[in-house]
Amino acid sequence: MISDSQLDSVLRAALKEDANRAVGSSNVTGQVRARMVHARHWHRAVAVPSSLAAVLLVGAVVLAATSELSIVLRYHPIGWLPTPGKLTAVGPCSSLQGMALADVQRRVNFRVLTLGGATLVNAYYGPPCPGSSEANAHLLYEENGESFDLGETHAPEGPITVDLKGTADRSPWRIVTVNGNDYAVLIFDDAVTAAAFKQAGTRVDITVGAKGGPNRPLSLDQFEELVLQIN
Amino acid sequence: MDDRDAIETLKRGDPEGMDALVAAHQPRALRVAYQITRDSQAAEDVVADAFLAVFQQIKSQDPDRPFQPWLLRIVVNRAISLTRRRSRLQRVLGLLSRATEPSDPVQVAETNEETRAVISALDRLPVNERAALSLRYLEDLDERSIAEILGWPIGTVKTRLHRGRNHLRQELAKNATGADAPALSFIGGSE
Repeated sequence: MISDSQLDSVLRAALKEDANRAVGSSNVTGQVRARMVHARHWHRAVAVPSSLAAVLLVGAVVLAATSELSIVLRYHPIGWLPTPGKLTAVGPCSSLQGMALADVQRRVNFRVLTLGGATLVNAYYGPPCPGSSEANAHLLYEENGESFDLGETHAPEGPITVDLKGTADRSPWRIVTVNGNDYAVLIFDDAVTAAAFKQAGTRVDITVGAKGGPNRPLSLDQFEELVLQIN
Repeated sequence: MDDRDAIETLKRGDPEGMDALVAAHQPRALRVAYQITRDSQAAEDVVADAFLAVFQQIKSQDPDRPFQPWLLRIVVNRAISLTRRRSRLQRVLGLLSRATEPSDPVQVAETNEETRAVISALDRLPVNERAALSLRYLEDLDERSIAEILGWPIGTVKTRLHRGRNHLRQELAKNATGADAPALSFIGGSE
């Protein structure tokens, strides 16, 4: 008869030896990464129909929202223009002041998000507009000849609103989900040229290719990789 | 980067947080998954899927809650589930007289006789007993920790460990008395 202690000892040694031999050199990092990418694409695929399904007509304003309402696309068919030119969180009344990123962070009441892997060309602080307490930050990055403008403000509780000209049915804007976070993206010819989203209590409005060299197309997949670098 | 930092990093959408969690926890997760599924490829699938589940649920994860028991619970549940599905499939294949994958002869030769006898006996245990024994002896977890990971009452853990050991002892005794039994050094020891 095998004693308990003998059995315990042999079992312990056998299990460890066998498991180390079988999977001791295994590494699933690549598999996990691949599954994460696949999951993000799946999220994106289901996010778009849910946003379309939630389109509501309220007077002259059309609202399109994701199921979790983290972003509302508000369309203005006539009589109102959003911030001209690029989409940005920097108000027209702000006189931007160039300074070190750390100084910008000290002056605003929200966390300034930065773009990893790209070169920060300039950082600006935008004082609050008259009648407002909200300052803003503006960061200009470059990477491989491509430029990224990040306009950042304190994000309100609940969903952020993106004001847009036109109507939802012809809009080049759509909402995609990456890692569970929603992004409003402007897509022309399969290239992302602007985006808006909320992360860690900060609203970020990005414009791609607005400075420096030619406006190179940023695919949706590249955009997904890009936003993962914003922290 | 510790678990807490890695979870916060991943919550912010940075995949480096996941890389750090995988690097820190995959060896243990793979060993446990392998001892339940008894298949290295299946173990990798189970562990990769478990990390994907972590990724999908990370936003609701309390950073103060220990990460490893949470991961191991996912791994063990998936490994048990996969093993049950496979054993049903193998029964069907057996009925159809189709051979399952033979053991790799090189691998078999590399494993010493004693280990092979134990592992072979372990293969014949019910999967729940195998899961409990794996966590107890492979990962040196106490009964309370096993209960938390598997979501079983502690009495159930004790029962399954006890039954598992008894089944294993019977299997090994059968092997030792068989005509082609290997010479097992630990059989016949005094109690």
